[in-house]
Parts: sequence; structure tokens; C-alpha cells
Amino acid sequence: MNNIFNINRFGKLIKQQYQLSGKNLVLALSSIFIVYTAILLLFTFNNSSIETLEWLPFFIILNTVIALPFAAYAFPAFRTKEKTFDYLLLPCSVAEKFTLNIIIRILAPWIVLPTIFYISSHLASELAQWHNPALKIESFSLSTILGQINHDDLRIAIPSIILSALIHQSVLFAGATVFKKQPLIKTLVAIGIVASVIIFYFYIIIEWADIYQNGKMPWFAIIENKESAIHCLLGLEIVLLTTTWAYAFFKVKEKEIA
Amino acid sequence: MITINNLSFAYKKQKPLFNELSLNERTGQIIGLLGKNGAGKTTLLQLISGLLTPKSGQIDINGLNPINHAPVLLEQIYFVPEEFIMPSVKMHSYVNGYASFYPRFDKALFNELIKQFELDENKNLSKMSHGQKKKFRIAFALASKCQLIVLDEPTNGLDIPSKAIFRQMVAGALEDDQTVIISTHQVKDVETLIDKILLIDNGQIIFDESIINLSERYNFKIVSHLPEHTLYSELNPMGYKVLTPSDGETSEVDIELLFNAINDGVKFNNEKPNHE
Repeated sequence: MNNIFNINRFGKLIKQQYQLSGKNLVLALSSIFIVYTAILLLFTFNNSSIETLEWLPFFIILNTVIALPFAAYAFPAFRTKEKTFDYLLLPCSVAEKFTLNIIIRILAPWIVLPTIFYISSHLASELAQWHNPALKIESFSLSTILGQINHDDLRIAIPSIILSALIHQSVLFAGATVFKKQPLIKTLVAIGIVASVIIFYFYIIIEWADIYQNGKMPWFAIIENKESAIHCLLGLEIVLLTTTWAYAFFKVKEKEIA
Repeated sequence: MITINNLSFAYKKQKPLFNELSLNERTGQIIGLLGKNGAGKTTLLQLISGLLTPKSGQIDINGLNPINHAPVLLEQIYFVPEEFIMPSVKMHSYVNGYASFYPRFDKALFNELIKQFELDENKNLSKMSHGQKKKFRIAFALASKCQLIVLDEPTNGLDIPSKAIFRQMVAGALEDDQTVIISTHQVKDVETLIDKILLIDNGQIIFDESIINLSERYNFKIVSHLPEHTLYSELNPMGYKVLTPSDGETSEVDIELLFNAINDGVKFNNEKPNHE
């Protein structure tokens, strides 16, 4: 039997997760639905007219607030020594355990959270209009919102924005493989330190050392137009995403109980 | 089946726990792993299971290195640790979730063991007492029919009847190709169960002997007066517990007495025992 990735074993792992966490999952999804609906009800009841685009900030903020901490607490077994013990001895390969966590903690929220938001927003709209038929509420629709984005620059940047969101999730996900306790806070601190170092570097070379004086262009200014810039950004994001996932994978592979 | 060559291991910022430790154990035994507190019994079990990485040396279980966490090896190992956390699910959910990973899992045997241990199938596992949880894990371990079952302090938390049931279950449920390693301080609980004693001290296996050999070569008895050729003795309310060379008859091994004798410096060899 394949020791790297076996689809039957992966199926058993999914079944095991369902058996152990199915009830908690239903409870969590129900809670998210209630919170979304309550917030969106407040929004609809406090506005006499709502256009489709006005749902967008709620869509982004609510989903981000749920998705990022959810990714930051991946591999819940790693939070205690006793659970790590059982998790490491579960007869599945590291690739199978890692893939399942990527699916549950990073990819699934991209489908589940918008779906809950869609249902909650429609429920909130219906309830608000039922309460006050005079309200002019356009329902939330992601395709309508995307259709309303006419700015070409923004359109070509959409893949890059999606990748950027995936990277945010993945960095927090990687933090969950490194930090045993409070991985969200510790990862944010680590990101803060790295970001500070990068900002400090650019500050030193541009402002303090002033090495780009007399019209000399910095190395990152070689990109000629916006399209190239977005392609470069896209390439950079793909490398960053791959690196983050690879780092997380090897952290899981090297995991011990000590 | 279990081969360890020149194993060295140390926890971070601590002095080495094992230094060039070697061991070779065949399949089909119940091995008692004994040692003082901090001797490294649990660490050795964790190294054997691939939960820790050796500093140097090789560990080989059925031809595979446990540190690679290969599923084909993991499905042959079941480890019941001393402390563990059970998920908040009922017994059947746990069994449905985990049993399929162990190809030889015997559901009928599991049900029988649960019945013997008088566990309530409908009770949430996280709400069970520590002893009940331990009984559940032991039952699962035996029903898994894994080739290597590792039990770390299995009788801790078990009530007196359960200890007897535990011994019966382990003795009765094993097949010829299964090996059980039991690490324990409570030697009386496993005295009649184990086939072999491994004693670990100062990072080395200092004693490795089968119970049959010991019972043929030594006498463990309680006497009112110390006999000649006493290798080791301890005061007892009834007189003395003594360890003497065999007088030709086999004797039930008193592991506690043996353990204390070894720690007292009594040397054992294959030929003839002598006292330093």
C-alpha cells in the first residue's frame, strides 16, 4: 500500500474526523449562521434602502473574521501533548493528515462561509422586508457585485487578491504547526516582527541611505506597467503560498511529542 | 521484530538519557519494562513508537524505521500512554472512527472485553473516570490485534478486580505474532503475566532475562530463617523474602524482590548466580 498518499486511507481519515468532530462542526456552523444573521438583521433594519454592493464590506469582514482564526487553529491535536501523541500514531501518512487540514482549514471556508453569508443575508433581507415592506433592499449576489466592478485594473487583480487572502490563511495555518499554545497571537507577533524588519530595510535604503538619488531607479521599479506589476505580484504570491505550505508540511512531518 | 542498535537520546538541554543502548526482541512475548523513576522507560517506548527522534543509532520494528511514521508500520503499533485525553464522543463513534485503521481489528473481541471490564457503551468517553478510560483504551489496544502493543503503566487507575481482568485479557487475547511491552512500577500487577523482564538503568538495559529462565535458576520464597547461599533478602512480616539459587525446582518469580536485588548489586548470569 502506498505510504505517501492512499485514497482509501484518506477516506478513513475523513470518516474519523466526521465521527469525532461532526457534532462540533454542526454546532460551529449553526453559531456562525446565527451570528451572521443577527449582524445582517441589524444592518437591514437600520437602512431604508440597500444596494447589492453595500453587502460587500460585511461579506469581506465577517468571512475574514471567521476564516483567519479558523486557519490559525489548524491541527487542533497539536495544542496538547496527549492529543499530539494519538494524532502522530494514527495510521495515516503526513501527506494525508496535512491535506485534510488544508481542505478543512483553508479551502472549505471559501465555500462554506460565503454560502452561510448568502443564506443569512437573504434571510435578513426577507425578514426586514416582511417587517417593513417599504424598504428597498437588493439581495446579496456575488455575481452581481463582480459584474458591477468595471474597473479593469481591479478585475485583473482579482486572482491576486484571492491569492493574497489564501496566503494570509496559510501563514496563520503554518503558525498552527509551529506554536503549541495561542498560535494566532504568536503568529501575528512573528508576522509583525518580519514586517517591521522589511519596512525598516526599505526605510534604510530609500530614506536614510538615499541610494536611489540622482534619478537611479530601485530594483523593484523595473516593472513597466500595471499589468506586468500584477503578473509579478501573482508570481510572487504563488511562490509565497507554495513556500508557506511546504514549510507547514515539514513542520508537521518533523512533529514530535517532546 | 524490535531491533535497537547503539541508540543515543537526550532531551534538549539535558544530559543524555540513553547512550549506545542496544536491544533485540523477538515476536510473541509479553515484555515487562522496569526501571526506577526517570530511568527512561516511557522515553524508550516513545522512541520505539517513533514519537521521538534518536540522537544517533537505529530502531527497527518489523524492518521499518518508526521515525518515518509510515502508515504500514503505524497500523501495526498501538500505544496506550499513561495519560491521555479522550474525545467527547460515545464509544461506538470512537470505534467507528478508529477501528478501520487497524486491519486486524476484532469487533467481537472488543465487545467481549468491554463487557468484561463492565464499561457502559452509551457513556461519553470524556465523561468516564480515568480508570474507565484506561480500560477502554486497553480493550481497544487488544482488539486492534496490532503486532506491537505498548502499554505504559496500564494498571494505574484500575481497581483491584479490573487488574485481575486485565491480566486475564492480555494473556487470553494475544496471538503468536503479537508482542506486548508493559512499562510499570506496579510489578505485582503484571508478575504472572510477563514472559520477559527488561530492566533499564543509567541509559542501558542492565537486565534482560526470560521469566522461565529465572524461575528455573532461582528460588524466590519467604522463610523464617535466612538460608545458606542467600543472594538477597528483605525483612518481611513473616520472616524474610529471600532470593537463592535454585534447588532444582522451579519457583514463581518475585519481580519486586528481583528488582531490588539487581539494584542492590546482585549480579545474575547464565551460569551461576553470585553475590558481590
